[in-house]
Amino acid sequence: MRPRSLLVAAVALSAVAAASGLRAGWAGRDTFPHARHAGLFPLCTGCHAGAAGGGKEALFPTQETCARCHDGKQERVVDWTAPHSRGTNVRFSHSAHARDLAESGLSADCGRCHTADGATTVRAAMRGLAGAQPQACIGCHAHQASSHLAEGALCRTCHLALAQATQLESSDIAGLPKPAGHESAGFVLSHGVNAGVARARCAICHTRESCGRCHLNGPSVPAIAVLESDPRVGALVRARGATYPRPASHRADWDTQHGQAARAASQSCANCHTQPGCRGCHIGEGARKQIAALPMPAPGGPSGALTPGGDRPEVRLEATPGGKNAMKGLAFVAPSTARVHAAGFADSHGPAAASGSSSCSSCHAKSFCSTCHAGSSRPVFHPVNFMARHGADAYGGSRNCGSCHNTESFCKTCHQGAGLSSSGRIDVAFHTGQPLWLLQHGEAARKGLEGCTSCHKQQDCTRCHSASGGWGVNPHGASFDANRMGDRNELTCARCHTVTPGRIPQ
Amino acid sequence: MKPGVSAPLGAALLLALAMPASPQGMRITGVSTAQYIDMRPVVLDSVPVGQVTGNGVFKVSADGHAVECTEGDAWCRYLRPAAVISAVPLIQDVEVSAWGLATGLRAYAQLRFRAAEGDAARFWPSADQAFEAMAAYLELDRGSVLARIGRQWKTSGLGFYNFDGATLSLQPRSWLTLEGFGGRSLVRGLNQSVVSPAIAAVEPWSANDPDWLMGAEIRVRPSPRLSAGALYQRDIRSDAAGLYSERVAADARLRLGRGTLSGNLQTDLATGDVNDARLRLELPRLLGFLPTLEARHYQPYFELWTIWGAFAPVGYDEATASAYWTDPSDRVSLHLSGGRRQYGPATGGMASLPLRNDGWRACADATIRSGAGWTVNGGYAADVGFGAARTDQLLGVRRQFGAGYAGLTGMAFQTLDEFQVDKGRVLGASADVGMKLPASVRIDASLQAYRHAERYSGGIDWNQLRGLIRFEWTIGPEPGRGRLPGGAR
Repeated sequence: MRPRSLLVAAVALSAVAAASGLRAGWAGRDTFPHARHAGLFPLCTGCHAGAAGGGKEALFPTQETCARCHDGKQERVVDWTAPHSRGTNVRFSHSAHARDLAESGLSADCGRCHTADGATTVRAAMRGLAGAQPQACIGCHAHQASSHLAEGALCRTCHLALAQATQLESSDIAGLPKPAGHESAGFVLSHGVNAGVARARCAICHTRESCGRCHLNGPSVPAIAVLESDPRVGALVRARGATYPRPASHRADWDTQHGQAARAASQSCANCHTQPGCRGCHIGEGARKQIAALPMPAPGGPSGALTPGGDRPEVRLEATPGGKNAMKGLAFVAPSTARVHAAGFADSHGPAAASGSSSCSSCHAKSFCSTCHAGSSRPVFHPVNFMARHGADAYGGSRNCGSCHNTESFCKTCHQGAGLSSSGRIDVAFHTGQPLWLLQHGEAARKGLEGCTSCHKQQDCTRCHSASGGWGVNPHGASFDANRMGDRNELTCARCHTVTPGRIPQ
Repeated sequence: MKPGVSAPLGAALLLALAMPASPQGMRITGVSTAQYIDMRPVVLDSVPVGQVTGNGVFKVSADGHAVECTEGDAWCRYLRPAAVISAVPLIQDVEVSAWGLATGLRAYAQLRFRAAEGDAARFWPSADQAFEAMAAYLELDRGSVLARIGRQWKTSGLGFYNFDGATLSLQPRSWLTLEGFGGRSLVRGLNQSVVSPAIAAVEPWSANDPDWLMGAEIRVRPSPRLSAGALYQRDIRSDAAGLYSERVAADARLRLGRGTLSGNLQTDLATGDVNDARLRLELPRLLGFLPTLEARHYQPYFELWTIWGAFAPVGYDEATASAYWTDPSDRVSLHLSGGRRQYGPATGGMASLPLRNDGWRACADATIRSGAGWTVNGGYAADVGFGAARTDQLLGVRRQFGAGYAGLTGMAFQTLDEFQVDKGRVLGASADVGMKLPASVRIDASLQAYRHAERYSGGIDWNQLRGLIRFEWTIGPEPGRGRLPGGAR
């Protein structure tokens, strides 16, 4: 290739760079009337000598160069200054391109890049001079996409990684164009897949701080860890809040059903969630390993995706969220109850807990069960003044009192203290509301035996219902299987019957 | 373990073994609760036959009491209100978790201290039990293997069982858990042996021998949609001559699309009775409501150291429907439910003196929350059935102030005990406040006043004042954490 061609190519490529906002290029529009000088200069390099050698200081003519003609005698004095250089992230060398083109046997005419029609003569080129477009690069380079900002573009062919583009100002970084694909609704949730395989492409516009705006686990994510750090980006992202759209996998019942997914891929959770975020609910012993694998939020950094209780310190997870004690007596529903469980779960959690459907220990300490199941320290299970109200619940069996309370130790002790227990007599005035109580008590006992046992001792009944010491009134129902019970404890039978071992009285 | 001495010593030993040394840690949570309760017990009294009027067994005294007179007896007996007593039960719970001795090794204790002021000493359950170790065990958690030894409880489909013993839980597959447990049995809610004086004081025919609790459980979760568990458990007398109980529980939960089907079963093998069987279907949202349908059979269960099971109790079948609605912003929520139950045939009565054989429940409550921290909650509930009935009305307002709240609630309820303990219409009001303070400290307090508008004996002031103050604090981090976050409990 002739030297002239090389020079032309260099100038052309320089123009491409200028149009792309190169650091050595134009800062804005072309203010030089190239068309009026089209017949004057045979070569672009007459003025843009630097395009051939690559020296940026000589890329544009100086005032003195213009003054050779515009000296006030030959031509009027003009006041023209070269465009000031601007920071850029374009990876470009005029001289290298000129050399490569020459070695490839291609023309390096300036117009190849700096005119819309690819003019090859200087005159034609100067008449139709235009800012070089990225499309000009794409025309030669093996770009996989159809346009400059398309997905799949090989950005690093022409661009430096952002952290290496040290001359870019923060405003330049903030103004970097966003590919159309980044605007789609699902991009935030799906970008991880591409980020893993196209790290170099992401690095053109992003640094570790870009990802850290939302990702709290940046150092442990390979695609993020390989990115360089850049304080300019850090300052920019701090001004923007984190965005955590809800993934499709997080269905309505995700709060209670995410355990298996979390165990299978806790690192996936770590993209958005923090230890404190999980511990808002996971206050117990379970899920310790999974939670420990999650990041802790850094001071001033993102706090992670919102979780039912983790990010709202005012939220107090209640034992009986939603519809508490409904059907059994009312109680005020706490205003900040986090609705982790469905309404009525306090009454229906048995199967879920016993079958292991929900890993209770992931959220609840063992002592949480005892909040309701073991005493009055935290009276949250029963509605207020339950002592005055509990009759209907006890008779109705709605809560299965025996699951937590022992009739003798709990009910009878209290009833005895209150004067409600039997004193051994059967003719006292307790059942005075039922004038013929003696005739009715059998049916009442069958239907509400728990109520009877909360006041009466066993001997109260065996005064009549005993084969050995009472009146011999048979209390057994038609379906009573004496052998079945006696096989398990003959002494039960012996309270009322004289028992011969191996022979259960009927 | 001998209550009162061995348990606290054991707990202290467990904790001493894990005194903090890096990377060990300890987390202590304390809850102090003080209550004040006005109560008016009833006492048995008598009046000379000559001072009553009426015919038959039941007559009326001069001051309006219904009295019972036995033929030939010079006195008629009745229950009358005693003087008001003021009970102030004080409870201090301390929960300690210490770890770091070895990988997965932890010492845990939940201790309860009691004191009683006023008349609580003779009235409040377990008020004479100054110390109770509700749990005190060593735990080794190695992922697929978990072992516990010490005082512990077993929560299962059969409820809540305490015992001093050991538990071994294995998870050979992620979907399979096998568990076995056994030890000296403790009375539920009492944490003492069945032969303890506490039982003997209220039941002369208490158990002859202490008992051993043992059981085995399997839980499977073959898919995220299905989980199931089964438990076999027995209480064996220490002389091995018999059982105090032999029970089986089965539980399952199946997610059907966006709905859930769950069920549980409790069976007493000693009687062959099904004590509790429940099938519950939670349906997907329909017209904005989340409906739930439930069918249940219930029949009370009694241990074999009593004779109660031989009295052939009957149970009931119940169908319940409920629906929960909330607006998209979760500011307004509504809960409706209703159910009806029908008792099985109970021989032993008289056809001419029938007792109620069914019952029903209904409830509606609504909550409105404003963005400014105000919450209004109101509702109505009724439960009418064999033995007793009650209606409830409640209306309350509460305001959230950052980490604190304050609220006022008005309520009214009416109770009717069919077999004549009492009936009454009660109007009540309560004020409650709470605040979460820095350093994981929380304090709650409430004051309630009740006016008994109607009681079976006139002229007696049954009005009641109740108060509660609760103070909760936590010291120490969660395992693996350097500091305690403000929101942790």
